[in-house]
Amino acid sequence: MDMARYESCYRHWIAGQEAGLAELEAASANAAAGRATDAELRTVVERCMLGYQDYATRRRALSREDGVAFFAPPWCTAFENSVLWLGGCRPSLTVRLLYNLSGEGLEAQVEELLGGLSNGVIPTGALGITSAQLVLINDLHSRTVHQENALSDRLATLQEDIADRPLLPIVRQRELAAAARLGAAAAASGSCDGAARRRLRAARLGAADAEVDAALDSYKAALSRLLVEADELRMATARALATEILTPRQAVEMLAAGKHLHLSVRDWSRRREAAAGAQQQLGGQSAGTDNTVRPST
Amino acid sequence: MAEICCEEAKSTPATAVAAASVSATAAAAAAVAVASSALERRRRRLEMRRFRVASDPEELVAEDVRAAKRQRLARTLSGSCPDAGSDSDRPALPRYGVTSVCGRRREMEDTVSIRPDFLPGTSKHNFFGVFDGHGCSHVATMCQDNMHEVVADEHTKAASGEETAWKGVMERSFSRLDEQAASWATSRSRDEPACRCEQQMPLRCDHVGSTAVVAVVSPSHVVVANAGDSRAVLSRGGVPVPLSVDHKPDRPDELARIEAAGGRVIYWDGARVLGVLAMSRAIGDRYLKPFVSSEPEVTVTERTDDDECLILASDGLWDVVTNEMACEVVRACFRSNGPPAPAARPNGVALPAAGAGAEDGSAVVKGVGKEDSDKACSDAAMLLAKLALARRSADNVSVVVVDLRRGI
Repeated sequence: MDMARYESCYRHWIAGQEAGLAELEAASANAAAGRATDAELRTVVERCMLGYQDYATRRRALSREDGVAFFAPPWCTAFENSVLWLGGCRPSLTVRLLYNLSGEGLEAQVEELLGGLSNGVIPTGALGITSAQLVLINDLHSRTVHQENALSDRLATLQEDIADRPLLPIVRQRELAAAARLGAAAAASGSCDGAARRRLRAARLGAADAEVDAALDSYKAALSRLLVEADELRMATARALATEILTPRQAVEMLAAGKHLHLSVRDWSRRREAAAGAQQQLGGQSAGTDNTVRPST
Repeated sequence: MAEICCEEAKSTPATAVAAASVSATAAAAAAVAVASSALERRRRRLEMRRFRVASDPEELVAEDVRAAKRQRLARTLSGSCPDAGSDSDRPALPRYGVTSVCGRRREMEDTVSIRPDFLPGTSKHNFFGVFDGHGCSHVATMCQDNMHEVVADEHTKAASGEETAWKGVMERSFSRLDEQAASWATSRSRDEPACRCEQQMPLRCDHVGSTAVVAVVSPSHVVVANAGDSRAVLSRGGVPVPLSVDHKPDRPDELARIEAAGGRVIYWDGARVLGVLAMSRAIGDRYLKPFVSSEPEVTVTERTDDDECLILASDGLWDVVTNEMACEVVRACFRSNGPPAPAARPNGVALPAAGAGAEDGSAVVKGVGKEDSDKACSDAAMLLAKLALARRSADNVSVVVVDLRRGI
């Protein structure tokens, strides 16, 4: 296990997110000014998709070594980890994000329609999501949620299975063996309870062996497979939206918003955790000062 | 729809044991009724087929035109030829639009049923139903599949063509669907896949129900039957006319009825029957009987030349859009599409592969294909759904818009 390499992979991904966001925002500005063709926007979208694919590919290789690390990455803040789903962004969030974006400007357009000022054009919001697109988005949403639930159920089964068997039987087996030895030791040494309890603790600490290692390795491998499939679902949902349902201009807006949200949440949570860390430092020094004062009394 | 939150009673009093016994007997009787009802439905379906074959050539022509239109559209999708077909010879189809989206929920529990010309032996009666399930979707799906057949059956039994008979027809129909929901767990065929609530806990089936707002539109009248907090609104001369009143537990007459029956309305994130359900009437929800009744409120409204449209929708729409705004949006969409055509005008929504959707037993909208809907009505339904999403509706959104304008 090499945590530094995993963190390096993540930092590379963040750098890619930042560069990608800049590129998408430039493309969006060009599109708004009428200076970008659909083909050019499609190229930008495809580059973004390739960035996601590259990250998923790197993670796939690294997670074979230690799948567990990616489920609660030590290189992320606690807040970032609290919103992870199977080691990454929840795919159905993409649809929620799109509903939010597609609603922008719609209220004003509806008011124009009702006031007879819109020449009869049916409102589609600033993003211009059509009726046909909304139907496709709704269908994708249902499929994605269904697949998410299936993967979540597999994680639940995995967690229940490993605790139920083999870990608990091993724990119980060792407890019974240790109790038997404790009984024998107590009988042999009469009143030396302290010594017997110390031997019990030593036996328990030294209990790691092939059976336990095999169970933990099996769990890690299963988590690794889950991560790969979750990444595939994330990719499939994003790709379906960006290249099959949305126009290139719409895809640029959606992808830019997604990256912006990701990077903002990361920055905000890091700033808060840095501030919390500083507060703990001050608290520590204050306690030290109190201790210094007391001996002089 | 808020998720049901409820603790199981830890012990069962003696009276409850007796009640459970009576309930089991009723369930068995209901199962028999359902079985005979199924046989009756099959017989009626055969009769309807015979009737269709024996009917005048115009009906056959309409059927052929619809099939031909599907073929033309299929060819259009494959790019082999443009669709130059006219839709002016489809008098049987009503002008309607429908949209149903999951929205900001993870589960889709709404269903929609649209059944043109659904009464055997009587022409030009069109059935529209919106069902918003809670706890699970199987009751809403059952209503989607069966409500129109039960209404048609009860209408046939009523015999008299009087408009006053509709109240009884609807009350008996809702009662039969409520019985079907109650016996669903025991009568369900083993071949059917278990649904989510049954997998979690068999008793949870008693916590599942659905709203039901149903409209029967004839050339002369609009009949609406409602149980729950979905809603039907008529737009008449630019003024919204509610054809249903939401069944909320704190509606004064509903509150009085519930308390007279020995129930309580507890305020927990809104008024809830026994602190559980945010509506006072629904199909199903056996656990909350008799406080949550399935008896519909029925209105029979005579149509006029001023009538513009009928809107049926689940509370995912009505929670964030007023009756006035909804009617204005529909009227504006009608203006944008010009005067009403004699029959539905083709809409621009992309079609699934020909025939593929028809075989999907779990479709959210049943009874019609997308190509049957009218463009103006579809624009209106879709725009209302989008507006609900933009206003951050947190529930499934289902909208049906029916054009009631009298054409040239």
